[in-house]
Amino acid sequence: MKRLLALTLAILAVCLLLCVGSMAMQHTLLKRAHAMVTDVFTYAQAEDPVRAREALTAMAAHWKRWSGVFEIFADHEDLHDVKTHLIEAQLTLDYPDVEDFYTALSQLGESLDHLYEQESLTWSNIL
Amino acid sequence: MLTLFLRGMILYIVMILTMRALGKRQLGQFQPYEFAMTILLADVISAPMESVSTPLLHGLLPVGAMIVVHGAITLLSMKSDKVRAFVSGKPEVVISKGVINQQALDRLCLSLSDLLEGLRGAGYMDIAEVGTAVIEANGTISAFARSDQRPPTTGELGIDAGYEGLPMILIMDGRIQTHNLTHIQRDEGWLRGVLKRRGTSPEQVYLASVDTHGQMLIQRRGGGVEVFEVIEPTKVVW
Repeated sequence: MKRLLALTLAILAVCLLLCVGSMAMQHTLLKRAHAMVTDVFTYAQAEDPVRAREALTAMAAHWKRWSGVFEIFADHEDLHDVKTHLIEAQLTLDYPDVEDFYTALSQLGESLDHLYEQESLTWSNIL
Repeated sequence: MLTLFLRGMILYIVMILTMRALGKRQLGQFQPYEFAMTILLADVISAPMESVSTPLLHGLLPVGAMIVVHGAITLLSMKSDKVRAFVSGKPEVVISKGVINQQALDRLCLSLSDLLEGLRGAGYMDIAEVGTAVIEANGTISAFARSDQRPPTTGELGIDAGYEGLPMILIMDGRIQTHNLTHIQRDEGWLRGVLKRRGTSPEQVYLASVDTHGQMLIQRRGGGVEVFEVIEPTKVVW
């Protein structure tokens, strides 16, 4: 009985640690990524393509650095979506039609939001 | 592909460890909550095994959650009869003094043919032989013969059968079981001496055991069984 109690408590502790750790880390990293996307949008709106590209490159570097960690916790398909939209945004930045760029950027923001919301502890997620 | 192969191995090991952590009860007797857990366990483990895009943790964390809930239910069941009755149900007597309790069968939604089938499974062809039958909490039927239908015990016949305990396996497929030898307070030298007197050695023996009457059974490789006394019954210590 003592063994079962110890085992149950140990597994509970490990699970809680993993859940809270993953939630905190993902929220921090995704918040940072989202802020970078907002920066890109602001620079693009201000018609400053050089700084927009710099911000987008910084976002890509941030994503590349942490994507390995994300892969431990998040669905790989969702991570792939973020990567695809990020590449689309980088490619369409030089296009004459800015609509393509804004579409790619909004899809990037949306896929980051999706990751963020999936990890959030909300009633809608639980139910 | 290699990832799937490695994941399969990891998850199989996790499954074995989980089953071991749940204890032996899980394998032999399913209470309703254990049955539910076993079904869920198989399903949850298989998800990350099939798809590389699903993180391994998405399979492992629900397994951890189930172990925690299972542990909590088991501990509460051990502490409280009410909790145990709620999660596992109670045994129900369906035959008492040879009479079928129809109300109990109705409560359990069991038909007469279900009961007869269960009794046949318990080794009773004729319901007239059964004095008491109980549907256990795990759904199995335990049946007991009427006192006038069962064979007499040695106690009833006034025969002293002596103590009967677990026979100790001393050699399995030529390998000496040192733990069991220690348990009967003998050593390898003693065993080799016994076998030498019978013209053999441990390597030539397929199976050797000694029972609580001090009788040793030897089966040599290629057949040939011998049974002889090696320990005086009064000196049997296990």
